[in-house]
Amino acid sequence: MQMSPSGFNGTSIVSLLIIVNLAFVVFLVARPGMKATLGGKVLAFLALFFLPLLAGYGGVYTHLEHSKQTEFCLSCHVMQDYGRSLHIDDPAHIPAVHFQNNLVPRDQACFTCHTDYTLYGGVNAKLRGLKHLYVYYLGTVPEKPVLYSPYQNRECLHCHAGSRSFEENPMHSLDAAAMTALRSGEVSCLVCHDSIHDVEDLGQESFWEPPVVPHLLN
Amino acid sequence: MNRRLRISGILILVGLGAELLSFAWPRPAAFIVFLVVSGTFLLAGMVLFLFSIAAGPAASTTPHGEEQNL
Repeated sequence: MQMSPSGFNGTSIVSLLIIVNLAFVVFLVARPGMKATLGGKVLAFLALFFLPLLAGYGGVYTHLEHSKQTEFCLSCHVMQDYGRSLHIDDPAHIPAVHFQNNLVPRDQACFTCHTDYTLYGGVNAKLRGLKHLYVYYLGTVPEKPVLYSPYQNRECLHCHAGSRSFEENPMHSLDAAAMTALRSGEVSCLVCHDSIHDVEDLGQESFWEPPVVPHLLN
Repeated sequence: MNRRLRISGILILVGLGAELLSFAWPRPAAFIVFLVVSGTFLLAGMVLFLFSIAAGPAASTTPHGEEQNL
């Protein structure tokens, strides 16, 4: 979640707005005579229309931001093994390497790799999320979740394209055709990097736990 | 009009309260609660407020000739 240097985040601001709105409404309900004055009418407009509208918009924004959190994704039972796979102690396990080395923000690890990096990618991800909610609460949850479409190189290249480790890797740059095939998505990154969320083998894995690092600021 | 505004205020109070509670509940179902409960109450409160100012005061006259707002 986005935090400002002062420690305020979107949720705090929207919560504060709601509390102010609640105070205005309680005041209006308790003193109905107020509404006869011009100031009372302005207050009524603010408390009963403008601020609730703003609070509603803020609520949607806040919930969408919450839904990007790793903790949020892993709160569904079906995702818990996928969360554990982020801690697998194996440098070849792609999600674990990204998570453990901060190649993706740990608090938004699922969203960072599983959103589409297209114009409406975030919106599409949220619509899929609503479908997940429907299936989770009202449908039949599959034993093994599967992606809606094969994982696109676009999502990998969003970060890796242009990076030295990717561009100068001999396996990528050995011949121009290989790089072209990767960039076009003709050859999937997962052909070689195929150790992805091995939840079936979790019982045989060892796990890494992040150390408690004191905050470097202050 | 006052009565409508009071009902509108109560609807908005419930909607805002539900929204605050939904923030404190870090589960996907919180979003559904927010949309359904909070959204419905907030929308109903705002629509009732707009209706009450558009319709104006529903005035009636008492037997003593005093005007009352309903």
